[in-house]
Amino acid sequence: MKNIAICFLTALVLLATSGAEVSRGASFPNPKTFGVTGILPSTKGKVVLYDFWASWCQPCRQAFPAYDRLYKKYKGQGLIVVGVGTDKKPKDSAGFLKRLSPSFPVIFDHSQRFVAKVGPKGMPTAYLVGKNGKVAFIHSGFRGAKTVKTIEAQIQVALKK
Amino acid sequence: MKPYFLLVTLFAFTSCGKVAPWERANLARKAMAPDRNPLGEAMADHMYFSREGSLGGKGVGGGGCGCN
Repeated sequence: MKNIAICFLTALVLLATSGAEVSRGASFPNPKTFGVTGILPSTKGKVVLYDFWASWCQPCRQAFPAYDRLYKKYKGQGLIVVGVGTDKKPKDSAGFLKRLSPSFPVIFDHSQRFVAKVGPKGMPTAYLVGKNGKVAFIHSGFRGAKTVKTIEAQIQVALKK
Repeated sequence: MKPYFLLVTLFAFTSCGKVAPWERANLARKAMAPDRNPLGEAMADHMYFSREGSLGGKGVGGGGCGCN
């Protein structure tokens, strides 16, 4: 009985600790080292908002126009919004982008290696990375104006630093 | 007997896996939604209510896509 309990606990610990996650204050990994496709602009000295999305995710669809507005508003002050498509099939991502056509750059993580490294808790998840390359803020999900207000406040703080 | 039992237990645990948020495309499909046919559901509810006097008690929060 004791052995079963030990096995059970070991399995639980392994499940709980599997996969690394990027948390607030940690260095954000460089997407280029994970074989992503698409054009990633230079992010050196910029505040970057990485938005992880998938074509099957309804809130991701609502988030895109909002992040596009933030990008247009703060681009001149040094903000870059980068959409990170996590669909396995390029066809799915292409259809999604055709409908929304964002003005911010989008990269594709079809192998899902980058998203697995970052480890977002849900779709969409936005990571605000400061000029120092560290994660300043993480927001999971998209709840309309409430989310935009929260993220905008964090962007303003990050741009001032 | 004991090592064999432990081995079987360990193999059983390998089937326990976490579906990551970015791997939930199939779970987010319409076919996976419990309320994919609202009219049919309403008809079934009406039938259960009329014949059995039972209603509700089957609510679940989405198909598990992890959105919001």
